[in-house]
Amino acid sequence: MLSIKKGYPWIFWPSSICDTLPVNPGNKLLSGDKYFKLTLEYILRDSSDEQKTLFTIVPRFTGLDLYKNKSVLTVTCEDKADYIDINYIGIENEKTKLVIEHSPEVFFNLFINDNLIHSLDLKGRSFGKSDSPHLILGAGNFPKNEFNLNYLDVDFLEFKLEDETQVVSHHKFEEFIFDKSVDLTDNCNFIHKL
Amino acid sequence: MSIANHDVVRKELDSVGCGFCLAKWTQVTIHLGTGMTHSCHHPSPHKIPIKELKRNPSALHNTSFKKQKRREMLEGKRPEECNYCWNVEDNSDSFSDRVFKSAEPWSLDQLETIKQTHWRRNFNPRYVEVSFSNTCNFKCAYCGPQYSSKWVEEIEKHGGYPTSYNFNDTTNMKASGTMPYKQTEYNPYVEAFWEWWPDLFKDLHTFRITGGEPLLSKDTFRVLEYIQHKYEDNSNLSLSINTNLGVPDKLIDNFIEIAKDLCENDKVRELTLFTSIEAQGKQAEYTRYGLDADKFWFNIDKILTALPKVTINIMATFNALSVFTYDDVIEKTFELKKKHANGQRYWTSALQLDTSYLRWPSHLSIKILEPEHFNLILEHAKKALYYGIKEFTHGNYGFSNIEIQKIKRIYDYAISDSLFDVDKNRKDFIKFVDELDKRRDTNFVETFPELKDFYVKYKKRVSVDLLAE
Repeated sequence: MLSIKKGYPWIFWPSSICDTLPVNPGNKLLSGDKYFKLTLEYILRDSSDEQKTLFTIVPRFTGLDLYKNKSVLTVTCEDKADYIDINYIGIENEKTKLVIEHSPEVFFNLFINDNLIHSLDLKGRSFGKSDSPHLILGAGNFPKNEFNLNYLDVDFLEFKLEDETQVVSHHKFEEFIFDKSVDLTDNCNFIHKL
Repeated sequence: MSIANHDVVRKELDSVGCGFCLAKWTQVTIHLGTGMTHSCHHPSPHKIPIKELKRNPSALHNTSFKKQKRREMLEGKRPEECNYCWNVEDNSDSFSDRVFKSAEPWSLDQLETIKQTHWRRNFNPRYVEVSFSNTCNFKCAYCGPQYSSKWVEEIEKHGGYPTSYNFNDTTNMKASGTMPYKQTEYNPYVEAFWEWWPDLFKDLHTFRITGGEPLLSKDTFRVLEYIQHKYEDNSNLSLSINTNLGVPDKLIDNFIEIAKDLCENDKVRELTLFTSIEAQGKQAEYTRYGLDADKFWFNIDKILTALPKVTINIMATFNALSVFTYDDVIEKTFELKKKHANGQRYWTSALQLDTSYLRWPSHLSIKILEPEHFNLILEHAKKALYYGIKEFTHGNYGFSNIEIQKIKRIYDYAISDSLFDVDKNRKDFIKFVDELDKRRDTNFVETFPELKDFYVKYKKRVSVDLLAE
């Protein structure tokens, strides 16, 4: 289990340390020209009423913000950002499964507990592209930027990223090396402490 | 220096001549044990005529031969001995080492002076690498008589190895007069060095002592003591010393005592140690004969504890015998990086692991191994990646991008296509370890059980060849 405390987010950016390893960095999938399916299993541990960001894909900001009575999914496309109120209220101490599936210029779907919560039609549009996208867990931004942080307490139980054919990164957060969660796929697509 | 600045440097050099390179003046490696010198590591070393030294000790660098090369450079010619760079320049858009070395801080500020200096004039180099002798208590499998007195002893007793090219045979060295002086012999090159040293010292940017094993040389300690007392003549010196860290404790302690004074009292700009290991435990001791692996790591720990500003750089020559335990080297390095990170080292990290692949002798290259072994190398790189850090700063420890990349590069080299003669080198490998075991009373298969099948397979082929002969 990866237990994130307020103010101490983690990041999925395995290509940030070495230019030549991992051989196929999983974070590069999180871009408008690639198919990806991201699965997160988590338990919220935060009962505050403040705005909280569960995860964020940057630099083209896409993430899920939790409020007291609603949630907002932000999806940044090449043309503009969509801010979508969704029918989901994060419940403390309840195990939740979130899936995002992106098919380039076709759809960007959000499932929670296996229910389709929102489907964004991408026909004629493209989800935001980036050379080195990365995903922050437990914050809306890098702490050093000092804005839009929206920290929260959360336990992540599983992280899985798939491309069209295979799992490229898989974490059950049982083994850690030097503040990095070991990728079960052996692709070195680790998640590390910020 | 940025790429743009390298472009400026290239234009500056070319304005003098298409073969002009400052390193011919500013840099030198001198092998005092054999009386050889070369400026830049690409041209082969040439013999220093003793008669030139008699009237000019700086002929250790300023030989008549080298002055002729400088003349060619100043007259718009390209010395043939510098072909390495001409090949790069003629066949790519890349900058050659002529540009990189001329752009170094110890070179570039000499540009105007050199342009205005007649080619006959002597010039004090800024970056000097010196080997006082080949005296060494190790005889590493990939080393030879030029750099190890232990190897000389072995070859004198048993001759060269029965590989296809008679590995480490000294017949040619004897014929060309390049056998190293014994430590007990009078050496006119060392004498000339000491005559030149007071004048050389004041102009030095970087001074690096190699070997042999420098800590076994009284000349190394003489240099250190000289700097202790004459540092005011040049307190901006970058000093580097190679050591196998396998010398008696007394010598390590003597070194630490002097180094403490140099560092704590700012008598040098920086002090760095370079050492080597490329496997762990018994496998390391087999490859680096004379090594006590536990003692090696103990001494690193001891030095980093006693000298809080010093960085130690492990130059690992990754070879066929490194594959099975290199992960332990990575583990130990990380452990010591972590323990000794203190934010006040001359270099960023307390301990650095600089991994290169062995090319010579080719029978020890990783290229002789089977594809299944190559994956182990990739696993080592992955381990280093998990110990990696994004920001390689004084406030962090862990492996840097470059340290990880250099391990990954070993794997890339292993799987790359090349003209490497695998069959010949595998047979040479078998002949080499068989002879080594005989001479040193070691047991290859017991030490490397992971290579037992490999050994048996290729031993059979060697036997078949012998029968055919």
